[in-house]
Amino acid sequence: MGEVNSLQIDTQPVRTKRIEELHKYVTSFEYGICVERGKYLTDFYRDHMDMAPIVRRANAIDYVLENMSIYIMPGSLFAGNQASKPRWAPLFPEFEVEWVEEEMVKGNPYYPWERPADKYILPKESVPVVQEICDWWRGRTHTDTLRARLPKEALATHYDLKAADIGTYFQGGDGHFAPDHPWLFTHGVQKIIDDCQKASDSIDWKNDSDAIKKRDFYEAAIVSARAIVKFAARYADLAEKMAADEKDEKRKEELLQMADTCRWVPANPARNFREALQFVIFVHICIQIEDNGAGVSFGRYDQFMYPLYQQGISDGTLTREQAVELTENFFLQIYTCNKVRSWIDTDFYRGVPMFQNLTIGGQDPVKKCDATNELSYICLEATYNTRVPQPSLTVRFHKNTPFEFKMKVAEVIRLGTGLPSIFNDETYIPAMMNRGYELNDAYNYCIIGCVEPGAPGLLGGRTGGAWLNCTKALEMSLYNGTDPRTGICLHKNRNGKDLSTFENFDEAKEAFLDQMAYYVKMEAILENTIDQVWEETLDEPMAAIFGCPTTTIPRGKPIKQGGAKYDLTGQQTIGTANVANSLYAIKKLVFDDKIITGQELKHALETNFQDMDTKPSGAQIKALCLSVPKYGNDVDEVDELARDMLAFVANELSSYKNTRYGKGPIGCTLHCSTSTVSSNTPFGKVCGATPDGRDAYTAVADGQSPMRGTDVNGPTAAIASVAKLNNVLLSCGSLYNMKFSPADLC
Amino acid sequence: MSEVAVNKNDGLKRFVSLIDRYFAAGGSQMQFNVVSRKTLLDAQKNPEKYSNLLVRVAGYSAYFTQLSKDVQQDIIERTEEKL
Repeated sequence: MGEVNSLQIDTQPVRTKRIEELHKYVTSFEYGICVERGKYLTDFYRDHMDMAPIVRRANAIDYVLENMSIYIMPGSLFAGNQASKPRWAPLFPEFEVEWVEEEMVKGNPYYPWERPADKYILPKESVPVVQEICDWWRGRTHTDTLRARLPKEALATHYDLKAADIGTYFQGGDGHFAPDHPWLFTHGVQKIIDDCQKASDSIDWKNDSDAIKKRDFYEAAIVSARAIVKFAARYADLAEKMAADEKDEKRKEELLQMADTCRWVPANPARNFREALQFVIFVHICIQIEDNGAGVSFGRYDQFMYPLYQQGISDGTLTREQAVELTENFFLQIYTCNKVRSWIDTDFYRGVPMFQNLTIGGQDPVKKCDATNELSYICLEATYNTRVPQPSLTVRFHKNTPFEFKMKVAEVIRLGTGLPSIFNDETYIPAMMNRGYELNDAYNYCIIGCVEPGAPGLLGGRTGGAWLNCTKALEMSLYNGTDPRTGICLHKNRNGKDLSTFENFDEAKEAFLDQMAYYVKMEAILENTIDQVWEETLDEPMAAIFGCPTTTIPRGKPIKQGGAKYDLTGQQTIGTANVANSLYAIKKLVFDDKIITGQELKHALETNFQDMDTKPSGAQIKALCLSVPKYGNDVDEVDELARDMLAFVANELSSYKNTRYGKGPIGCTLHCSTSTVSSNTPFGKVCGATPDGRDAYTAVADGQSPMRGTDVNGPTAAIASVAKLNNVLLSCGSLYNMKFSPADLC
Repeated sequence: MSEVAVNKNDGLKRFVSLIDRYFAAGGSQMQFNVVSRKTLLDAQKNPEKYSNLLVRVAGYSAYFTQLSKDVQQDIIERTEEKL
């Protein structure tokens, strides 16, 4: 094959005329900011501060859904939009308005349309509306409350040290769950209304101390369920109106059918493949309007859609080609959703990801056999053909995954879009069971957000959470707990020593673990305070009734009060490779081989390897640091440090309870993942030089991957190292990036 | 998809074996960029030619030319493994 640049560029997708035009349409929009949600929500809140928080929230979202602009995309077979244009993002002022005002009104540090990356248009006429929204919310937002409620050390950990960062959950919602789509489209939303009414009517006012909370929940749930039905009816009206003006007979018919569908779902059970997809879209879009949490995922598409696929094929109402086109149309519809983050937060989320994950493959939860089916292949084709970043396609592999399927997956990966990513049932399932999942639920996991497993429709909490900057904890352990960048010291090493006074390697390691344990505690305080404030002011009826309908409705509880079957608080641990490599360099250079002293190394780090007057010079010390073997080359000694350190963090995290412990759900602890998003670059910017030879303020390693450029012994050695980690402890997910040249995969 | 099937799939089979090997050894998750350094450098220089180029950042994909320089650099510097 010779020179292969990129198969994305060198090959053409196979698209029907409809998909080709829809793709062109959706991708023609520059990203923008839509103020409608922010405005309508604020209008409603301003006049209804007397309502119970969850009831107010339900009614406010209902008001948004009644008033926001809706549209139907040319040629699309589905309806449902999150903002006034495709790829435009709504505003969520209830979370934080400081950055909104600073950036959108004052241009500090940039106006959204002038950013060096992740730009958004904001129409001129919207700016006064933004100002008005900010004026009302100032002092009343989630972030304002958090700043008042969080202990000083936790705030310093987040804002000043960046040893942990949880900005996303100051500035926005949780997201990070997979709704119970199959339950919803099998039963219809009317059942939720009926069940909630019945449950509300039979509240035990004599004995139930939660009676009032339950009544509020059911009232909110009914408002929300009715809101989505009314929202769908707006599309039915619009489709009828567009049909009346439509010249093309075929399109007119499609629009009339769409109108018919939108009058039927989501109120009633879906009767066929297309109706089920329309149902899923409405649920998904409404969740994305209720709050701006990313990572709202779809669950196991090939599994829950398969009965309707089979039914359509067998009764002749659906062909395979139609299923491909409908799936591709669905993918493009989903890609219209967007989110705008503060400039600081975009550093952690480069490339405006939404993490709308969709899982295929894996095993049957009851029969425990391979579950790959025709729809698994159809999803691969849809990803191959649509070539947009969302939905994030995920494939589950297990020991009996058919070779033919694996080759098809590999063919799509070769295209180079980064999709799909691959997950191993053989570690993910035991990892979940270790947190209390029942066997069948663990076998039914889907991926949520980036890499996090969860049982669709049964998991509350959030699989995302704070980023834990392990490189920062390591750095502070070398300076007896002081951060050299800011001079702040929250926690001195228990042994009171630093890199110049450690007497042996165990003291260095012990100091690091001590700092790490302290910052895990800070993370737990941040996570749980956010959840506590959320429970008091933000609890959400749609996330409850769509996310976990089979438990929240019988219990009469939203998620944060303990409404889910399983509830775990996720997070992301960053810098495994840097910590292991740094500790190993200290061990080798200072204690085993005694080539330099701790004092010399400390000085070299403080001066970023730039002091040429020492002997050895800064540059020579850096070369020594780089020469020590690195994680990612199948060297046991350093790989074992990586394993032990990550296992320590994972075990420490899961020793902390979350706010739902003892309130009904299974689990209810924090737990560990190695997902990074793009936080390894901003975290690098706050970390000085490290003993692994990394220059000050440069990016740290991503996920649990080896530090970039240091895995030099080929892929077999690299995977051997990464596999040595105690992956089964990473019940919130593992992340390992590899890069190949296209020519190599031909 | 068959239209893009290449002459022989030896590289692809080696790739699948690598995944099998990683998972058999206790690995959990893998994600890939399949793009040459040359393409990425060219895309930095001539972004207009590569507006559709998707890459894997972390647990998600994004358009390469819309990423900030430091994230682009991070992806460029990742080791290009040889199968």
